[in-house]
Amino acid sequence: MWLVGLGRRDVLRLEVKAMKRVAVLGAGNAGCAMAAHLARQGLEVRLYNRWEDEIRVLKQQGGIYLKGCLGEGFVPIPVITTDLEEALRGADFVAVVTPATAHEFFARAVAPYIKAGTPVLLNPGHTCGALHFRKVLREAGGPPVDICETNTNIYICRLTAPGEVTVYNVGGVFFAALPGERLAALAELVGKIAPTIRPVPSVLDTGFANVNAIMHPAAMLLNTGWIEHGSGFYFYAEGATPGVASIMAAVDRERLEVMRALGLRPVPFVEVFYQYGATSQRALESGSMYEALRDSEPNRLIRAPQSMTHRFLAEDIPHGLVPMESFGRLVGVKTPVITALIELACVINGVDYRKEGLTLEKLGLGGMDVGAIMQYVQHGE
Amino acid sequence: MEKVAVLGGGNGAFITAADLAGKGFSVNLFEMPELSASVERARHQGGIELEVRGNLPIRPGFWRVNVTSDPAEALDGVKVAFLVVPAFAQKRFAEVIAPYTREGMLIVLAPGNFGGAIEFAQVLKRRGSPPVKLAEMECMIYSGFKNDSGSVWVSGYKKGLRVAAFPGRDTAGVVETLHQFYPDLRPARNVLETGLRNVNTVFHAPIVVLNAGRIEDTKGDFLFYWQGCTPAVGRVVEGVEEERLAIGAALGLELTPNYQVMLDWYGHQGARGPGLKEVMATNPAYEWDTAPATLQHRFLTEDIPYGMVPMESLGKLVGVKTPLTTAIIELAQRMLERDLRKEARTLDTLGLGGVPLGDLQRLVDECGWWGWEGATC
Repeated sequence: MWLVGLGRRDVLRLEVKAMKRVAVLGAGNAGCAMAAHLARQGLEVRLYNRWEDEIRVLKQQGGIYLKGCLGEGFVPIPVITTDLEEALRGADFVAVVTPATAHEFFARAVAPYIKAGTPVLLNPGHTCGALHFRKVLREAGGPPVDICETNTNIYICRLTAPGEVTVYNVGGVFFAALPGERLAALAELVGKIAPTIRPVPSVLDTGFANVNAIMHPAAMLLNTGWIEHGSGFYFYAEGATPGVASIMAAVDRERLEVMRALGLRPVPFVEVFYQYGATSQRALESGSMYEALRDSEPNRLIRAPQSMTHRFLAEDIPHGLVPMESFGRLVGVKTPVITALIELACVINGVDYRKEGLTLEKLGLGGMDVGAIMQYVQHGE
Repeated sequence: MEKVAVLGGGNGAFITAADLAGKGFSVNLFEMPELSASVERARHQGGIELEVRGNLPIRPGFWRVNVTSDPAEALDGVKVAFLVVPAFAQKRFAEVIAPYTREGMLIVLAPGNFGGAIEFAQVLKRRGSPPVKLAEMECMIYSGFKNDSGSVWVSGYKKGLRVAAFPGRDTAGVVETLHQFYPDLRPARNVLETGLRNVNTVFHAPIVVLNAGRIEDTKGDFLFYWQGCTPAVGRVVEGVEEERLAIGAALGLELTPNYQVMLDWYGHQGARGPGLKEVMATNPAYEWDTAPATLQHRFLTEDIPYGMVPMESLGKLVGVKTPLTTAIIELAQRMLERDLRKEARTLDTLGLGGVPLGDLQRLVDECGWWGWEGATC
């Protein structure tokens, strides 16, 4: 219902070349799923990973064993490498499939090799990944490129054995472009390889729809003792109790309030989660955070992390709640629950997540008013 | 045999009544008529069975206690009364006993929580009580739980607990009087200090909030301190503690770091450890302390409005930032769906908001409520 129609002006501007050779950066769960998925569709995939250890098996077997809803079988990948230049050579599309904490590294690292105009997809962008990536890439002397992002991972998947990825579901994810005026062209391009994407007007719409930031910090922090005492409980099925879910719901309300103040269209968590295929129609109709998580088949058997340094805090605080809080401050919307979660995470992990994370200053939006930010997001200047 | 009154009928009141009876005092236990079920068996059998877990300076046994729901009877011939009730109930007890107080009678809030003695004095004076002596302890002196309406067990006894009179200039005399009951009590400067010394403020709510999922899912089936106060939880507790100490310093109060408090109180029971979180997670006095079965528990509903919220507002008064205290309040009140700041007892609700710090200190150090004339006495 929030689909953006392709206007005539956008159609005329379609100029992105169909992709042939794709660099997938990051060979974790989702990177492997995406590489296999794209290779299956006949694209020439070049898969890069920073650490040799994690791709040794893939290199030995020359590809990925794929299981689950995207098909079963061995998928050859012609290039699997730790050499970024090799991965990017001749690539006409780049997919960055990493934790948000690695975006800065990749934006800097690709700068010397990426060709001007190459579309870059952040799958996912988390919150404000595209804005961050663009700023770092420019500062590192990289060429102008179009960046697009999803709000969360297209693939619900896990590496189920060395060299093997199982894809459980391909979710309906929000998709936006930076600059926003390039949305139609990029949506058409990416839609061909990932038909479940749902275009939304701007990278703020994707950024604020970062479902991980809504779920993970609350579920982690309100179960701190249980996580450390180490009984390996089911993270959502047991850990997302009514009280815990009420804090996620409060985060959701604060986030929607900030979106309203920014003039964005606020889509509640439960609706985003349902579109993603992660919960039931019944839960959608109830509108309840608690029900949405209880009814989440993909999350049912997820175990709690073993440590508080897990990416559910280390990523979702600095690349989720911190930028949301920062936007809240800009528009004068109070976010006491988001702030509370950030404070606790900082003390628990001994990290200043506001310093590490994506504040407006870090995104290159410092000193701008809402109008100027919207202008920048839409037109790139 | 000197007569004393114990007001209340919960865990703490039962242990207090039984312990004092065991020490040879004649004890009247008063509970509100509407709560008489909670003291039913004690009334019926004319006393309380007290079980002692661990090596404590408390005598186990069946101790005779006169259980009544008549405040006149409870306070008849009594020079010292101990009020052992949750903070939110203190006001109601003040209203009920006001007609039966006598000049010079000592009423000890055990414990006071923030502003307990001030509020108690305000209610008594408004109800026409003659000036009584008021004092408050910094914390409950025992830890333990009732088995039923006639028996209770105790597993902890805090040595060297602080007590302050309201006003503070009466403290020395009050401590001397109370030494016949608790020979190791020590003085605090005033009731602002006892309010800020309450360790429950720093311990309870952070541990509950950071174990909220486990409490709800398992109905509290774990040991609250031994298993719930993990290193990360401990870091938050220590962070709240730092905020408390900073506020105390800004108010010119000499607060003892809670690490030292733990060693002082529970060293005799074997408490050890290199730091606060370690000593909490291994304190033998906590061996029996299971977690609350629900979030709707006084660890949040009492310790936030009568501990953390006052701390937050004192922080504002003296310009000390309290981000962790605020964080715990915010999360707790949303989980409980209650406005805990509105329920709180603060300088504002005591009618003392905006009183300059110097005047406030005169009130608690010198004047007391009967002598207070707005700025001086």
